[in-house]
Amino acid sequence: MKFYICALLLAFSIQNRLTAQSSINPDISIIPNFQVSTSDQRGPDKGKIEFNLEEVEMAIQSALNPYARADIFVAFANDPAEPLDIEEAYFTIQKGLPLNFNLKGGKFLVDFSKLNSTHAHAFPFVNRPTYQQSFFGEEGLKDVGVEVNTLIPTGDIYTKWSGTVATGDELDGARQNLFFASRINSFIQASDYTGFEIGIGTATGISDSTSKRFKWYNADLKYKWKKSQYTSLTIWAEGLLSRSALNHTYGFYTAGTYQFMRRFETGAKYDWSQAINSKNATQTISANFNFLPAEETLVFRFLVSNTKPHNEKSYRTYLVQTIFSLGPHKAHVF
Amino acid sequence: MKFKLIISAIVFIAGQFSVCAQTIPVVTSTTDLKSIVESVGGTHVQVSSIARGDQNIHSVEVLPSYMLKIKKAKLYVKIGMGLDQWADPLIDGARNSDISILDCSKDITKLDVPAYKVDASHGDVHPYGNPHYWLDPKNGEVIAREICDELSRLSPQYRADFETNLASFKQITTSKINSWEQLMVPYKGSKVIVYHDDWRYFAEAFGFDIVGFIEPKPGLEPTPSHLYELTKIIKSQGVKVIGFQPYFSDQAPNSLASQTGATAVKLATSVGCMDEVHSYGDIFEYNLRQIISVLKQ
Repeated sequence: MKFYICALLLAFSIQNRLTAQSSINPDISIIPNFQVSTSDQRGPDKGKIEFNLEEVEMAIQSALNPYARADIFVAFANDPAEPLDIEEAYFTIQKGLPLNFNLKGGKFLVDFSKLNSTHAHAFPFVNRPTYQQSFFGEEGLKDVGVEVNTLIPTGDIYTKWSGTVATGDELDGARQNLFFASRINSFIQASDYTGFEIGIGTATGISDSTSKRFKWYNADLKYKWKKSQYTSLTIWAEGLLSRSALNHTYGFYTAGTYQFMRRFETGAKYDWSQAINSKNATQTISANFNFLPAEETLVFRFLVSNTKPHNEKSYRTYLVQTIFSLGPHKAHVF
Repeated sequence: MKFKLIISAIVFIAGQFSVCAQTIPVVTSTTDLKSIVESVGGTHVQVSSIARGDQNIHSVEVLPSYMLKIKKAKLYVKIGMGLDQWADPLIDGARNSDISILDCSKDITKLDVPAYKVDASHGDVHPYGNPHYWLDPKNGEVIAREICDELSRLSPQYRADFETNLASFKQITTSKINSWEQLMVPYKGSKVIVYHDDWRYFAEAFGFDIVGFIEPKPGLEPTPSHLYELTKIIKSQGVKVIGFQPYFSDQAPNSLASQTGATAVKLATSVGCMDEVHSYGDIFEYNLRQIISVLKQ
């Protein structure tokens, strides 16, 4: 009899612990990105159909206490040199600081351009624009550092300013000097159906390859007209000017997505970019068609693009991207 | 002269501040909650809603301009039960340490609480039960009680006014519920098809029998085979009404209607969903009028 009572009490205690534990577990989401592609670019892989599990992103997110939260994004990438990458791991103090400041610390995507702060799975197109890959790296501009941001009182217009100091270690080219970035952005809701955001970013650091200081100036725009629940037009445009003692280079992209039915979208993108230390430009024009069988959990993107590198023959790429999402990954801000 | 102007300006500005100080700024997730807060709060509240009445509240976009509204508010009133999850990033982004959050679902008797492990294979099923509880007018009274308590906690000096407004809201709602129930007597048990699983509480309140959904599973677009199954159900069970919300495409409801002889009817899930629906009570007036006009034929 005693044994049964003890067993019952033990089972009850374990059950209680499990319930308490699950209620404090962080939200965990997993977002794989699977691609099938082929290209007629000259080389050994010309015409070859490639199957790639491009990336599996795992998001672990939770409140730390009533004032702060933590977000960790780990990417398992199809890269033998770096199969596991801590994309972001940062805390944010959201409440309790003076002047409505938020403080972010750790490794994170630097708030320098609208798209840079957006995770790749939430892009309206398949690939990160060429200019961001050339200047920021394939994974975008992310680094270990500290960011402060606050809302600036501008009436009914939402305006946010942010400033970042980062180590420079994580940036493309392994710059070993402090990197500073700042961005101011405003969101204007023109009507119930139309809203747009404009932003300006500046950054400075020292290039590892040239040992020269560079300064970046970025401008971005996102415009959305949402006629009804399942009909919308979204336009993105961003451009960057890079200045250093050696040269001035720049790049930009513009893209549009039109959702015309609950499950279908179509879009196009134009990219033009030089590189941080090279005036040689690459341009890409692409069109994509998106099929969303179940909103937010599965998307198929069909892409055809034409790329013209500097002094090389242009080539075409055909690609099918599948992004699927497991778990409670929260809705993204506009 | 200058001195007088300055004094007048100071008096005017102080007056503005005192008017602002008297009202409680409230933000709600939906227009239905806004309507109830206005009924209970009366002149002591200034209310705005995040979602419009004609929007699908399952997927409201997280716009920074909404954060500004919440930043100035003292109270945020949400539906809860996982329906308005988009409110969480808005509240976080608003940087308002003083705001109170009221989840109106806490005292509701919940329907369709899954007795199984919920995952996405069941569609967009809400793990805490069907969250469309405001579509039963009796739940409107429960919501109003919770709002009254919260407003009284925030501004105890107006407690008596809130209680008076609540009593008036309840009296009007109860009298309307009685008349709606009378109206429904001949049509109790009528079979209907609806687009999405929003109507469980409404059907429970007024005695409709929902025999099918246009969505094969919550959140999924209808397939041809599912629509074919629905035509068989409509014909075999004598369904006259196919209800759908205006933000869904009318293609499937109209197609079903033309194949079966039933009538596709636009129904209002929220205040402002249709031009005729201006208040919480109008939702039921409008929907019952639409449905009964078809059932009468």
